[in-house]
Amino acid sequence: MPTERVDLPQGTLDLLILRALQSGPEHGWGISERIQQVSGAIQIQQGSLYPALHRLERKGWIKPSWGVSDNNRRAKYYELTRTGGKHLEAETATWRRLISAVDQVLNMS
Amino acid sequence: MLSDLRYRLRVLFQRNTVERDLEDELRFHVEQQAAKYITAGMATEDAHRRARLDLGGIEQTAETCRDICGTRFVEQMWQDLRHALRILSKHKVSATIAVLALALALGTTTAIVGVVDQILFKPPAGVTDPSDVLKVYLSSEGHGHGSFSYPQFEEFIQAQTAFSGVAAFVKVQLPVRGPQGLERVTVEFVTDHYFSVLRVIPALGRIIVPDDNMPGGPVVVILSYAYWQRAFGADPKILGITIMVRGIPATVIGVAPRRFAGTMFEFLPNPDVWIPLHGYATIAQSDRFTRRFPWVFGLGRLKPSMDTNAAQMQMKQTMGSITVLPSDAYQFDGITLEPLYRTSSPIRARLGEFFGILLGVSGLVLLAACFNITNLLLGLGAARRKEIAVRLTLGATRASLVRQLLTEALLLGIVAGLLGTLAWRSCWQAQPCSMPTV
Repeated sequence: MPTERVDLPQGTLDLLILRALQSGPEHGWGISERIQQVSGAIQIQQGSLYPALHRLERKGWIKPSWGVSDNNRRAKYYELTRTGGKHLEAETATWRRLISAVDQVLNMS
Repeated sequence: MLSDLRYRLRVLFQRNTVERDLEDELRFHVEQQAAKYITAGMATEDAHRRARLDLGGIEQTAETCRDICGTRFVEQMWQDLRHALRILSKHKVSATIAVLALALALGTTTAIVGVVDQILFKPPAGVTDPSDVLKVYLSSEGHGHGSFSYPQFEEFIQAQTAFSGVAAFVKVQLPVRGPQGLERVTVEFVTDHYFSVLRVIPALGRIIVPDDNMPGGPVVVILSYAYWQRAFGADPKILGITIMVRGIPATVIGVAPRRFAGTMFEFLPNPDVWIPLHGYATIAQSDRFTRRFPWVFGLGRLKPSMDTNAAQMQMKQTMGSITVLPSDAYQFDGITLEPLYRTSSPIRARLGEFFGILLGVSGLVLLAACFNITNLLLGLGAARRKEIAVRLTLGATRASLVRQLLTEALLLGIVAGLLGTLAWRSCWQAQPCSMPTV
């Protein structure tokens, strides 16, 4: 697995969090783990994870609830809301368009 | 937006819970991360320390979250308020004097402005669109507010073109026998269209219409709301009851809206009843209707296309058509129009002066109170130089200190304002004014 760390461009953290929650509710640490399991190249600045989660909660895209973790501890779980899901789709499409556009420019000879 | 609002409300009202939740959440994260390190073989203490470092420190992250959560602003506000109370309670005497002075000043100023507004500026209650209604007087050199004789008024009705409707009225005091016996009551005699020109909506029953104003016909009467409450205990079955006005039976056909008291507040107290003008002949057993005796005052509602100036111009022409001359004792040469304030011009001018002076005085009282408060705050400031210096060294920003001091001043102001208004209200209730309806 490549160990190079890539800096996240601005605003993509939100996108990754929403996508991570698409497969089911998870608490903050679990989200960070889930993302890193998929792509080890992304090192989430843990300090910016929780502010991001609270921001998304304020916007109404994720919904918190308190539950019990795997090791029987009280943990705050987040799940994707319907508006969150819609936003995720829209942002993903935008992201893909952006990536292919940048790619095109980079690939020009 | 709704979720944001709910979030903010929760932060506002359940601050402790929100704080605790935040801490729990971050602590959980650190424990999970430490557990991961321990499984990988790190020593327990090192694992925990490393995990905390990874997160960036629980307190720091919590602070960032609080910024986002907006709890910080509320927290600061509470802190400022509590601190202000502490400081002010240390200087109870000066603070109390300053607040009382300010409360007095605020209370009196509010009271005066309120009374002035009622007396000088507010139009009479119960009249719809009062700005379109004007009082009509016959005027001459030195007597600007003369009444019409009945023949003159009839000519005026025919000749005028500025008003969509005109009416006349006069106030008289007469003995009336109601359920509570005989009492002296103020009666306002009015022409057919008085209530429709003013567009008064009765509280009960109906208004006077032309059919009620037949010479020699049965007398009807409309009660004022206050009289209805006072003499009849607000009896809902008042319609059709007969009262005796100077021995003549009069049937109640309606009750005026609450607070309606006619349009003229001078000379006699507010009307208790309204009776069609021709009832005067029956009741007073005197016929002023054909004589040249000036006795009725006029008013009219402007046509939609007219304004006061245009109407005043029109009056010059109308004047020419009034041929009936009054007795020699009273000559007139013009018609004056006046807006429907509660007081008429000559009185207004004098009242205006009086209230101007009163307002000036209360302004000075307010100024004195402000000096008082400023002194208090400056004195406090000097005494607290040490405290402020210490806080600055400890890292407080100037902005937070300014905010703190402003909160103290605001607290004083609000308390004084509340005290002043409450005091005025209770004084007002205790001393009912004979001025119409406050």
